[in-house]
Amino acid sequence: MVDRVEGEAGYLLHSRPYRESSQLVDLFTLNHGRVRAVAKATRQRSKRGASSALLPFCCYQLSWRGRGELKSLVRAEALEPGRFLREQALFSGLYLNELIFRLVHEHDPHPQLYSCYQQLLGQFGYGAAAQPLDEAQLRQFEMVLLDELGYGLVLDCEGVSGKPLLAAGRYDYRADTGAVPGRHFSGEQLLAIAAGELQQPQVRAAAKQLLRTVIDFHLDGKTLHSRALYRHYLDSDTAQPIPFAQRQP
Amino acid sequence: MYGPSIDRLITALRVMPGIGAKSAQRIALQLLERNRDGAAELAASLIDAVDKVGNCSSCRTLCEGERCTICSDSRRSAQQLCIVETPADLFAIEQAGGYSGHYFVLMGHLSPIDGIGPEEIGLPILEAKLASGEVDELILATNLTVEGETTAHYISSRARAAGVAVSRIAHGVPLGGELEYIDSNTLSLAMQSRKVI
Repeated sequence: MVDRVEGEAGYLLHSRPYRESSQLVDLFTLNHGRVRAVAKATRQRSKRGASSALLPFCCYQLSWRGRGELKSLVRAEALEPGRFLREQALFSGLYLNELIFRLVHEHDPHPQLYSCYQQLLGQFGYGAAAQPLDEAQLRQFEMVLLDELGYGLVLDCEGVSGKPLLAAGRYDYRADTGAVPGRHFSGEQLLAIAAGELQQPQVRAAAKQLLRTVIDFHLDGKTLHSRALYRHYLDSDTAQPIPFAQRQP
Repeated sequence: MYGPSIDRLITALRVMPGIGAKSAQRIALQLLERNRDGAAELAASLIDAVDKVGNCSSCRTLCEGERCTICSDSRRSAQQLCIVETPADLFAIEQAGGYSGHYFVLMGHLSPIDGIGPEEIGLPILEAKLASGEVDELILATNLTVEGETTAHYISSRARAAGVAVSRIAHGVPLGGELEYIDSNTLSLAMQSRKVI
């Protein structure tokens, strides 16, 4: 175990209150993967009123110490202005964080996944105009995540027999064995997903279903709460805002 | 170390926030040596409070009886409903004054990673309230953390679907604050949520 790490780039995935004024933080870092640490006194405000609490979706330069599983965060300097995600962008950001939190093991570095995460967060931009991620971007992230964890989709040949996939064929996909002759997906869809061509709505729908099945398999019974929350949110988000009459208190 | 009763008391005192082993021992010895009447009063009031204090059936804050004093106050308007995360937030707004509507206390916030969803923070009760048509305006006073923002956006989407106007409390420069000393995130948020005067 590393005793001391200085100036490592990383993001906050999640924090929860710890003791009186500290936070228990889950970080996703470039060279050390997911790291859990105690950030001391971050819930207190300084004398000037400034809060030192870490914000998710913002890149930090992090330094920590400690031999065991739980590290002690000694310094965190923001490398970019804070991102205040709103509405759909916020919910998709939470989904990315929960995927990493649930599937990536502690202290396993995944630089490729890190750069994909960083790139997607970059798409949000800063400020009020944050754009939500589109479906293709979410699917791309899920595929990179599975690849990095060693559970990558095999979409060029059948799982058991090793025969190449035919565009005209029909297949099912099993998370443990791969594509097998069946009826759920067309060969054409699977080949398009493999090539990352997600422009067509049918291919996107197939990719969503396929990746959900595989991710659920690897979650091993754990639930992705942000997914259900996002769906509920989208269901009710079709309503237009009702003008708010300014009231005098 | 001191005998089973004292050890039990010391362990029991440690349930309080910010009280560790050393403080618990100091409190226990102080109560037993110098203030036995105070200790008896503390014990009786704890039992009394645990027995009598429940949650308001209307706003979920801590209260004695069926409804809290705010919900049963006829001078307050039930058309405005302010959403807060904890009873402490409710007290803070009450102390600040200037608000005369009702509250709804979530007793937490949405946090997918912690497995806290809409049911855990009483949103079905809130939605029933919104559907009943008694609320005209919803004021979201959840914390300015990612979880608080998630909760606010989620509730606002549900409220819009129910046809209720929603507002979020303003965020920005504190009163008497000097821009030079304000942290950059707060300042950038204040810049984004500027308003016409």
